[in-house]
Amino acid sequence: MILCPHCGKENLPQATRCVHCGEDLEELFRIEGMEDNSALQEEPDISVADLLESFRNDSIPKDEETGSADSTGQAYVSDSGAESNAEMPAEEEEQAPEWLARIRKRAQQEEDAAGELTRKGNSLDAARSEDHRGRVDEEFANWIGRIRENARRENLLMPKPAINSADSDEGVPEWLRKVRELQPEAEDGEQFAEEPAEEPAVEEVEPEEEQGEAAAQDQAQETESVVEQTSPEEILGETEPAAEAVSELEPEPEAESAGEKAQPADEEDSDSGDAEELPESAAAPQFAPVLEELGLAADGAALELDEKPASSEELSADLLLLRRQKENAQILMNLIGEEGRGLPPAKTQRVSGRGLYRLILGAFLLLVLAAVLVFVPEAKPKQIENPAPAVALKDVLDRLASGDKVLVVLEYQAATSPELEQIAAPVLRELETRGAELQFLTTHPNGLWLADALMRAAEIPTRETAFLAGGRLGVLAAALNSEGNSAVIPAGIEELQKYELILLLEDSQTDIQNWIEQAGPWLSASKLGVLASSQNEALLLPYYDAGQLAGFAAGTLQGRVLAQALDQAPLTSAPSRAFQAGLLVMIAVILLGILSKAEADSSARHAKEPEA
Amino acid sequence: MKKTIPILVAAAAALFILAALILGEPLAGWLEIVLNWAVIVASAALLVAIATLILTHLRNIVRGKRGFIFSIILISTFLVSFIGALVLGMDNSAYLRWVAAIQLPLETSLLGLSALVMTAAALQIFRSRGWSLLTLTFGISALVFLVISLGLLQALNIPVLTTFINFLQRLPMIGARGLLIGIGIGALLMGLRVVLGLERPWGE
Repeated sequence: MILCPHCGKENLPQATRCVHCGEDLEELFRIEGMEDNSALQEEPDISVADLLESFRNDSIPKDEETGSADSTGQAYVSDSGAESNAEMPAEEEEQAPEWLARIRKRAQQEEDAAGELTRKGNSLDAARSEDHRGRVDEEFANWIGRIRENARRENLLMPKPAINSADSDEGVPEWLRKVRELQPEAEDGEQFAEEPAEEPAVEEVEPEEEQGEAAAQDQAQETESVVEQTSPEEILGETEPAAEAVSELEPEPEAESAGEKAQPADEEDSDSGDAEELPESAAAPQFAPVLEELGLAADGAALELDEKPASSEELSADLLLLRRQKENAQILMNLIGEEGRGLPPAKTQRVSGRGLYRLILGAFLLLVLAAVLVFVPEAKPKQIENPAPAVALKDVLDRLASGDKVLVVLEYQAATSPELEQIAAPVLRELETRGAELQFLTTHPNGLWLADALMRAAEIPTRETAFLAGGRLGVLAAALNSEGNSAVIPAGIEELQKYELILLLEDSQTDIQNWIEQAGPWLSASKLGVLASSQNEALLLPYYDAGQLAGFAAGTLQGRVLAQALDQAPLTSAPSRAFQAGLLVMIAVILLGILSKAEADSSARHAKEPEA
Repeated sequence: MKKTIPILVAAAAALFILAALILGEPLAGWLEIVLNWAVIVASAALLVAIATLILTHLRNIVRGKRGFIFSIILISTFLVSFIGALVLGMDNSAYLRWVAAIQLPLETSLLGLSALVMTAAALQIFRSRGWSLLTLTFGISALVFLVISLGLLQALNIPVLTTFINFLQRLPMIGARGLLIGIGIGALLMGLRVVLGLERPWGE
């Protein structure tokens, strides 16, 4: 428990404030072994520089006393620490706080406690002289200047938004004009290589960088006692404040320059031996502002520095280029070199009049097609093998007698009406001839007006067409109606079972399936006959083979066969020729597609052959 | 309850239709009654659909939505057809010819357009897909059956050729039967799903 200095009451040791009076308990932070810190409190103006100076002054007498120091610095550590302390000026001894004196004493007594940093510093201090200090300062300043110059160069090479290059009055683009202006100066590449290393370029750095440089120099002055003839990289590793300040600029070029020194001599020779590329690389910095204005600068993310190895550090520092920047500059150089020369001859020259030739050929083919359709009589097979379904349907029609009721169901669209009329007209004419009682029914509204056209095409008397509402349900209901009293069945239509034949005119697979699968079980299989469009033949054949159909005829060809079997003249109207014309066109188009693909492949092969 | 009742009604109707098809005559009378109900409900649904269609397009016209011109055309043609049938009657020959004169060229041109699209696709398939087994099979089979459909080879009256052509013409039947079997199995499964309540084609 601790006592509050204000009220004198007890508080917990970890309490920061008295729980009784609220007074701050500062005694909590008292460190054991630091009974009196008044020295620091009384001398708040002691800066870090003074402390480092005190270190420096502390080490100098030892150097003089020991005379020489080896590289390990062991000689610096001696057992005469007490004596050196005794030789210290009395004023410094009074000014130094007690904790500092302890640290000094322990550092002299224990080698490990001194640490690597102190050993190196001590060894360097031992070898340092006034001349060496001047060289170190000069090299450090040069090193900082190179780093800042590299940072400035990187800022210039950073990509910026492209600026639209406006053409000049002579029609010469702005970018080309600038490149032409820069071209004569490209020969003096070495001058450009040396310019950036000069001092004025360093002054162009932004104020923030100057502040960073000032901070770095301040820190460097404080640590210069431990720097001698070492590379800046070592300094970066040993002096953290300076390293932090410098790392804001750009530490990478220095690392590369250090690595550059380590490159084998033969590699340097091979790279530096490209004497032709040296002027180009030297001239590349000229193009940097131009490329920057053109927006051709490389992506900032790809900051791969393409450094040209050179014999001197100044030259290598100025040849830092982005790889893409270099490529763009090379492209510009090539363009300038090609300026005024003639274009290379094209590999394949377009044959004039080839389009006209194709047009004439296409027109000729169309004319031949039209002439065949108009003038050449339609080819008709003399003897066609009668399809079994059509023969079966003919047998059903032959069994019909006068007065037998036949229900003709129209379920096709207007688009297929010419084909269906061509198939159904001979059959209807035959039924009319036989004296069958025809009734027309449709489940599509279209059938109301299509039936009229069909009767006209078949040259039979016009009859009223009934409309069966309800679609599939209506068909099923009509098939189920056995008493003729269903409200679904339209007037004039009897029960479906009473018809000797239900002749379906179909172009829809759905309607065919509906009649056969839904209404078929309620009707006799011998009552259903189908006249359908040609694409439904594949659907109808399985039903016929299964015995669910009395027979069918699909397509104009089978319709013609059926008409010939019924001794009726098939319709020879335009749709048949139009159908053939459409087939011919489709054949020609498919052949054209195959030939064009083959021609394209052949052209591609010929185009590859010269390259091979 | 809102979801259960439709499922029960659908399952009951499906089971009843199935039983009527299997048992035949004993349930034929009841099946006819159920079908009449279904026809009436379907007709009412059709009227509702027509009303919804007209209201939707009227709303488009009033609000001036994009493409409202087509809404105007749709409603005007609907009114003309509807009023014409009411005034003249569905069996009026003039009215029938008038409707047929509009619908016949429209549907014919639509069918011709589909033929052109398929032809263009046949032209492009070799360029887009290159030479492959699929494209070669398609091209050869299309050419063969188009030539057969012309009827010119049959007109040569060569018995061997005619027999070969008849053989070729039966090849599509094989594929068609496979399609029909697949359609039948799919319909059967769909019916079972509806009966068991797993499928709700009427929506949620």
